[in-house]
Amino acid sequence: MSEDSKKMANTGAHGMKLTFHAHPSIPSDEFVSLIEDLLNSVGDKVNEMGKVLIGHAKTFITTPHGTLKVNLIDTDLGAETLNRLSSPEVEEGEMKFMCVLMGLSDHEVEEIMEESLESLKDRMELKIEEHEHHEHENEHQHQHDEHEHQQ
Amino acid sequence: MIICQIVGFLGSGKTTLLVQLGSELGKEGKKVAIIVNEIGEIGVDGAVIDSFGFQSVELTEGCICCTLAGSLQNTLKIISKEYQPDLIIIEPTGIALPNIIKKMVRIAMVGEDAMYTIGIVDAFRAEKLFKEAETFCRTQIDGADIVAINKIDLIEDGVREKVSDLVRSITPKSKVVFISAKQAQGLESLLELLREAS
Repeated sequence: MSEDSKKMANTGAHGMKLTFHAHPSIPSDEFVSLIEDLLNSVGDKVNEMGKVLIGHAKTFITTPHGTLKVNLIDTDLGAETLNRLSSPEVEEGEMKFMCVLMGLSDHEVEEIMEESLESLKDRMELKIEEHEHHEHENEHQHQHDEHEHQQ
Repeated sequence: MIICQIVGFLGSGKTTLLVQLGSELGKEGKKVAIIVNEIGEIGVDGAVIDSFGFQSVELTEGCICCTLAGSLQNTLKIISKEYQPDLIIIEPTGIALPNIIKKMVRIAMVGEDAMYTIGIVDAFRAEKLFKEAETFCRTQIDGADIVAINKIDLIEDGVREKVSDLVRSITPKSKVVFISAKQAQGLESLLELLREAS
């Protein structure tokens, strides 16, 4: 077996941690739909590239009034949601967003995720808090600790 | 102290199963420690697990069967010494190779009484996954103590039999159980294994 299972599986991965602020605040049901759309957008983009989504796209959101977990593992199945938000509206919180996709590079996965996040920017201000790349298999190497995505 | 790894392909339901097993054993008074590994630099599963009242140790940006093997061994040593759990559950990445993790745990010499491997198979996607990622899917369940065929709430009986036959052809000596981790169905055999051992 290979010394590096990630290379052996031909898998690209990327994860990011963001904070978000919505002004005005977003009704919880609509917020959940926005996040489900975010995950479904990842699947659509993979399909547009002519690939089959083999992997896992997932996000976990923490707000002052509960948490939201949304996963996408199969576009036929759609996004799976565990909604534990207790407030009727969502104003701010922290989001962890991660994708592991076979047949794509780390950089391709990152691009898909960043493109998918565009859909949220009409409704909320996003700030990527941690976004450090130590190595991307010689594709590129960069570092941006406070990379702001604002409307 | 028992060490158990829950191994399965990306999206097979490892975290959901871990939370269910950990919750049940915790209620019974077992001290459960959790090590979760994510391949990306920012993990999600650790936060999910912690939101259910656990305190997990998250190892990110690599796989504990290869690039993070040293981190796994150090973490096992610290947890076993400082927390003295009855059970350590390890959730590797979805592309981890269980035999290598087993070897890494053995080399760490933390004095475990036994180590078990639970292999988990996503019944809903099994056909697709075994076609696209056969090597991993086979390696991850081959030799497992128990193979849990998960997401049975999403499949019909015919699919269930097909997946079961496939699993038995790969790892004939493993016990096979059918579960829905999401709905906490069929978990008794898995709990029994961990209860008796710890």
